[in-house]
Amino acid sequence: MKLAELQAKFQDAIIGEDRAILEAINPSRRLDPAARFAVYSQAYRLRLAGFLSEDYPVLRNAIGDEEFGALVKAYIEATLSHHPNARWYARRLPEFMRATEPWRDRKEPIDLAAFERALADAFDSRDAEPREITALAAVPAENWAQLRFDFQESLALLAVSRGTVAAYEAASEDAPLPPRTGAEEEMVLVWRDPEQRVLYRVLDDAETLALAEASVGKTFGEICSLLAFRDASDAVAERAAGFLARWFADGLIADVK
Amino acid sequence: MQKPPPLGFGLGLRPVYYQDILETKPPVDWLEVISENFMVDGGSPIATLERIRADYPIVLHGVSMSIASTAPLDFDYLTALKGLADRFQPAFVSDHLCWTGVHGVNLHDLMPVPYTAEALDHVARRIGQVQDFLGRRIAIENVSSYVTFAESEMDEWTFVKALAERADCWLLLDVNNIFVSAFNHDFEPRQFIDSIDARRIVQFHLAGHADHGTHKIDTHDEPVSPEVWALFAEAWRRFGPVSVMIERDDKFPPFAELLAELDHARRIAIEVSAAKIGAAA
Repeated sequence: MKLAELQAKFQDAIIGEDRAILEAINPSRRLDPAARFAVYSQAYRLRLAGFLSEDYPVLRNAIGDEEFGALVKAYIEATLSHHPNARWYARRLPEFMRATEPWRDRKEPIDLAAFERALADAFDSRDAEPREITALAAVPAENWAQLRFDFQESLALLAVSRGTVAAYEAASEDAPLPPRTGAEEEMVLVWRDPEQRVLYRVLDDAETLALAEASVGKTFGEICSLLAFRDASDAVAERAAGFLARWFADGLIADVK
Repeated sequence: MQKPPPLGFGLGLRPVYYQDILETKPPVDWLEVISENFMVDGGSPIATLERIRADYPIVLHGVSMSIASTAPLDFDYLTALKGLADRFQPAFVSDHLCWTGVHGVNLHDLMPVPYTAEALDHVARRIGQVQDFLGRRIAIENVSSYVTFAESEMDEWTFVKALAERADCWLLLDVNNIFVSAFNHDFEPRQFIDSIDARRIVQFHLAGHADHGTHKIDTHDEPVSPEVWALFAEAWRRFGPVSVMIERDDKFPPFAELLAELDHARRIAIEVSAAKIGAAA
């Protein structure tokens, strides 16, 4: 048997049910070929399950070992790894849950998985030196309306069911999950700060609007107009400036143009 | 053929020990880094490695080069590896004598190779391509295996010795893997050690394994066993001094326990070296 054929048969047997490879395996003094081969097929599933457990420990706490085990088994049978870095294998678990019975209708565990993945993504996304708020000092006040902002690549805005962050915090501590309060959503900001800490906070509606618009390149003036349209009051400019100051303090802003 | 100088006695750099290493700067001569863990865009992993690299020599040890695969070499992977090597200047770069997948799949495991002339040609040619691309000799590690193939035409040690010559690469001798494979395939581990060309060995791995009665598995979740320490003494007698490293990848003990295990390796090496000098005198 040529090397390429042997490797294809070996891999087919690990991934699926085809056991043609057993004819090419010698027995040992103590084990037949099937038992020897089983070391590899079992290790494959255990290793992938380990990747999922490492990436979603809080989801596991929240839904329990039994349901998490069933989810992991289904994901592994449906999902091959195509990347040399194991870090990427578990990334698509939230999408898998959204598309697969019996998880597809369970928004709360799906949102918890999505939140946990966003935290993992922020952990090792690309670095960019954050700008200080002093960067604004060089800009004349009359030009502020034209300012645009680039944000850290680690920044993610997630719309999740209300209570997801509280559930994450409870499940992280192995505490009982708090009761959910309704079908509304909460908007969560996830990012990595200059000290390499992955942070998150729940945003109110006005900051969500401002940040969502700023992160797609809208100017400070446009953001103020949108805020004024949403909430007619005299304090819009001050409120927008307050958001901006906080984004600088959080290390979210990578450039000012 | 000038071997890289021995780095001394090292440990695997694992996230669970980052804080111990950064805060206490322990008496470890060098650290072995899993290359793939740092093939990321940025963030904490890279920042941590930069801080640690400032205090310790490192070796980049990969698990996904898939050098024995019949799939085409992954030049995206090799480009990332070259970038890491350029950035962190490891003493050397190593990976395993295995394949990790074909047809675009990664099985994330060290799959066994049939010891055939065809496989020898194939792997030697690919090591040459990788070394040309990286601009450096790499070290190839013998793996633990749990099957042997009817197709094999030679012993593992014959294959490994010929491979190092043909590919002109270094060898990373995993002493625990020799012991595990020797049990699983009923060969005498000394035969492996006695057959390898000492000029090719640049590093030893030591690790623990699990004993299932009918077979042993390379788990890296236990201390080094007495039998592997004995085999290490044999390996040091024949090949030493070369860089030594203890791998621990699960059931992580307090860092002090790993340091004590590393001291045990040092003592064996000193005793064996002293006995060699005594015998020569």
